[in-house]
Amino acid sequence: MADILTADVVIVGSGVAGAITGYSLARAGAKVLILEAGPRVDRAKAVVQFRNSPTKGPNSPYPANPKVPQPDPDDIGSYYVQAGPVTFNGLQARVVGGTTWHWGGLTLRYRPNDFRLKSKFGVGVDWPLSYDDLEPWYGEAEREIGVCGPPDYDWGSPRSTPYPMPPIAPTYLDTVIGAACAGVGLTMAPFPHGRNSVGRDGRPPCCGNASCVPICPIGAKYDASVHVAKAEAAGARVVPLAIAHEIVVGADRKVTAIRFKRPDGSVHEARGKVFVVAAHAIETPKLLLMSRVPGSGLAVANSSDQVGRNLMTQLDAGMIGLTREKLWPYRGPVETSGIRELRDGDFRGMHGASGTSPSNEGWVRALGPMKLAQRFAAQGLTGGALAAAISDHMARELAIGPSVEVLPNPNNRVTLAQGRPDPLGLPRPRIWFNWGTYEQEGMKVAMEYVLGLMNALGATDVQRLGPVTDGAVMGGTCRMGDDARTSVVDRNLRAHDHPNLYVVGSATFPTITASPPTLTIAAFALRAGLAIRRDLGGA
Amino acid sequence: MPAIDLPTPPEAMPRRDLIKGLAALLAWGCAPAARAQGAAAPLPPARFSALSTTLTGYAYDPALAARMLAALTAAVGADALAKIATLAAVTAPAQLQAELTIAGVDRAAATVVAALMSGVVDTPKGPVVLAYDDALAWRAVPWTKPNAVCGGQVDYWASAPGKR
Repeated sequence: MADILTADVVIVGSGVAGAITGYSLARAGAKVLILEAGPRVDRAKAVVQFRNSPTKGPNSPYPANPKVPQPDPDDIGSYYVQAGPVTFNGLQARVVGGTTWHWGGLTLRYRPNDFRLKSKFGVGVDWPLSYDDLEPWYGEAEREIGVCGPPDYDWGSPRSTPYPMPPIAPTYLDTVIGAACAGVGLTMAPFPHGRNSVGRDGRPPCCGNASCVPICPIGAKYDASVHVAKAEAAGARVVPLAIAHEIVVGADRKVTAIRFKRPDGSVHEARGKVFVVAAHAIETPKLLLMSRVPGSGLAVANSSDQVGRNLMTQLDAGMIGLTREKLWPYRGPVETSGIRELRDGDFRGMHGASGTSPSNEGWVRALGPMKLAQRFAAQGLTGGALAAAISDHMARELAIGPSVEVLPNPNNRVTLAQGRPDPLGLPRPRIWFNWGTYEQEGMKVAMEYVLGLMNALGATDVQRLGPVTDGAVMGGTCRMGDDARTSVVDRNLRAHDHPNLYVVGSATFPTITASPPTLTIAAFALRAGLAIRRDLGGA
Repeated sequence: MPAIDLPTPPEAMPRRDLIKGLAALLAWGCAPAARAQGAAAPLPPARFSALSTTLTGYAYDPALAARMLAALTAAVGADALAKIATLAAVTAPAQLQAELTIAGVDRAAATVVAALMSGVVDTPKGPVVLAYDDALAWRAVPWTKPNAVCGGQVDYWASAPGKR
């Protein structure tokens, strides 16, 4: 017999967007129901699973349910149906807490110019609101997540409030590279982080497990399980393994229910007053496109034909080399500082901005000594000579590369794949993706600086990697805007077509910038929470 | 240039363990002549331990040894494993690679070394992780530690190893 669940607000997705939206509503007294396609994560078991994984990839620690497929970085076409011309590598974790489980923890704000790319530089589109509109929400998001950051550098994003915690120190590696930057006209600064530099909010300070991606074993790095737990403590109900597959719309264009499947194939329904889809940039448009408005033939929220379009990520390339001086990577958080230049400027009229930061993960992240042991053993090294070769190589490994912003392009698109349904009979996402000269030129400029830096560090064995689409950043597909003819949701993230449907998350971002999106997702989630509270008649 | 305690120099530790290994071989009646005879029986645990020490410089955790030995026996075969163990026990480190090549077990030996160090053994069903935190490779880099293991107080990473 089908379950009928009821709430004031039904949220699809328990990642940072859904969890913070849900928490903000539950603490205000709303009855909140969060449907999550994936299972719950037990942190200790996930760490064990990570240790037992041969690949140690971003999704390796997390419990996979065969009925809830998710992208596998080692076989990215196993879930996504890649339609080309280039492979889309965006990863998502379909678990309670979502993809923040394996984010790196960087909490840069977007810059004022990121919100006005069209009017300032003549490319892309403007957001319907400005940095100043969002600035107070950034402050609240930083308090919610728990951000530590440098008090003396704002990364081009003016602040009205201090960071909640003092900064963590840059790695020794960053200090050496920072000194070398001066020789090539670059400068470095420490990043703000969604991780504890001191004990806060019931979580310990970071102790440099060096496994932020894919899992922080002690919860010092923020992930959205924090706000899932807070939402539940405030009265929200979280239902794992509830795979939303249809948004039910009434004759008045209001959403009346979300239908979801269980892994056994049974179908259930969640009814409410307000509905929020917060299932990231792929699953969100997929759900909207799977749902139909009665009598119109249109997909839900898609009168503009913009659902699924303008999928964005960043374009990544890298350079690896062995530096003359030992840098001692593999110690501490994955990234602690970044290059300040190329993130913003008039050049954005010509080519993309880029964010470049040295990785603290050496060449191969969690498998550094293992891969080297295999390589040197094949060369016949044994005993102390083998150990010395591993140590020397690892200590001098540098990996550094830019992530370039990708402009919105309506052809970069998520649609429903025909054939090859997933194990529950639901369509897989079909992804068409490409980049252009704006992104390529941005990459070319940034990589010239990176090569100069490698030379300044006396690096040998230098190799170029990429370019490829980024695995961590994705957005677009349900663009926000003031014009219902060209966007899916308004500035409050309410669907133009349906007065009680919201879309929250980077799916709504008109542009993607060169910065990580998570803090901006959290800021918009808190802001949308206020709009929904007003819908419900609250403050 | 930062100071660091690198692993034991190539010759010193294996020599000590070579003597132990030889003693163990003699105790089993497995004198150097075993090289010519070949050996098909599964490698006894003590010989496996000596093999690990000679090939990698590090003794293998006894708690993990049985699984690793079984996996390596499956991966390279009992004969090859016994040949490698015998050669490792009786050959000076500087000549070991040449002797392994002459015996035709150099590739198998590389597989053994890689598995012992990485904790990963390739099987027909794909790589299997037998050890991660306890993989010997981490002992080659005493200036860091396995991922997902706490490294110290917050900000320990700001200094070069041993400089704080």
